Amino acid sequence: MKCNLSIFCNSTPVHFQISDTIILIFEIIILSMIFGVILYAFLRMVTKKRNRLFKNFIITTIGVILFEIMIQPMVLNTRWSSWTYYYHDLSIIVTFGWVVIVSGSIYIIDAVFAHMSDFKRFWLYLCTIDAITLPVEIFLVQSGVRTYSQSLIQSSLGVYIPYTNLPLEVGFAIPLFFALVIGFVKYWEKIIENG
Amino acid sequence: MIIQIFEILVILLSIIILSILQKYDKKSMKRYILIAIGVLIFELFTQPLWNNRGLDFWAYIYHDVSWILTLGWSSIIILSMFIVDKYVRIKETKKFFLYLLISGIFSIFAEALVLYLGIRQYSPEIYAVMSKIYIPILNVPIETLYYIPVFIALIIGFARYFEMSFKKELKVLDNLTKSDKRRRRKK
Repeated sequence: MKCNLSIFCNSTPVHFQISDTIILIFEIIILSMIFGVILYAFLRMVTKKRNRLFKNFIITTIGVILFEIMIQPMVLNTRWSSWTYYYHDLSIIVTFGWVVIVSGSIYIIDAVFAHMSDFKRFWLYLCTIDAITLPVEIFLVQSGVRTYSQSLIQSSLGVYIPYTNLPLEVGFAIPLFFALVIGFVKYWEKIIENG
Repeated sequence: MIIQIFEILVILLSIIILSILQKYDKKSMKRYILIAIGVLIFELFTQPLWNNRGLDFWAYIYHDVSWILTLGWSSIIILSMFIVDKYVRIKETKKFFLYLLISGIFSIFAEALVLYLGIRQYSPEIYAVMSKIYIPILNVPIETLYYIPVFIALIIGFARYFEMSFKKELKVLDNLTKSDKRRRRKK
């Protein structure tokens, strides 16, 4: 494809050099967040008899894992500590990172915008999740922790998010990916709530 | 020639299925559109994983994403959902798995057909992680037993969520109009 805007095709990508220590710190932060969410959800369940967050967390985990396994050949997760990998190159750090972002966003939006219709809230979930995940994805790719498969690079238009190695399509693929995951999670939440 | 027959057959079958379902349930069109959006979203971002080749140029939307295949998958899913809704009276949670089972069976045959016709090929990354075990007779990779249900689970979840959301909104609107009518009567 002929690229008319040089910023999308000729800008020099910015790379982040991160050491193994920083990766380890990142892993500890994510694990702490997971334990924090699980503990908070568990305490709410025991003390207030409310298990919505816990259910939401479990359903989101199932949705994200199912999907991660499916798209696993498109993305390569490297440089994480060996103990974090659970299937091929899928790392619990990445999976639970997405889970915390998705379930956290859904939980907060449901609590703050409870008066809104499901349809409007869906767009709020999507915008919030994308606003968080896109910078995270850019950071992971630019630091070499996450790389894309040859097929994905070859099928892209050759247009990139400025100053990154991310094909512009990834910017669209992330909302698409989460639109399905959110739909799946909210559907299960609803049918479990309604018995 | 076989490809053209396949394309026309998919379009015709989709029209027939949709028009029959529309007779039984007026909301079938809405459901079909939601399913098709879900399928298209899925196909768009997993597009590097599969190669859909050999179809006529007008059958493609973006790269090798084909609307003919979108119609095919959507028709399989809506037909399976209809069969379950029509003939089985069980909880929605159980229904979901029945949707998966029936559409999964149809889809494996559909996948076998597109593989046989050479329309569907997998990317080298998929071949690299494949076990190279194939389902006998159908000659479909054993991994499809995982991929197809996951794909359908996400699509059904997405479509049913929006269906439920719209229904709820309609109920709210309906309630509002009822209360408005009552207020008017009082006046």
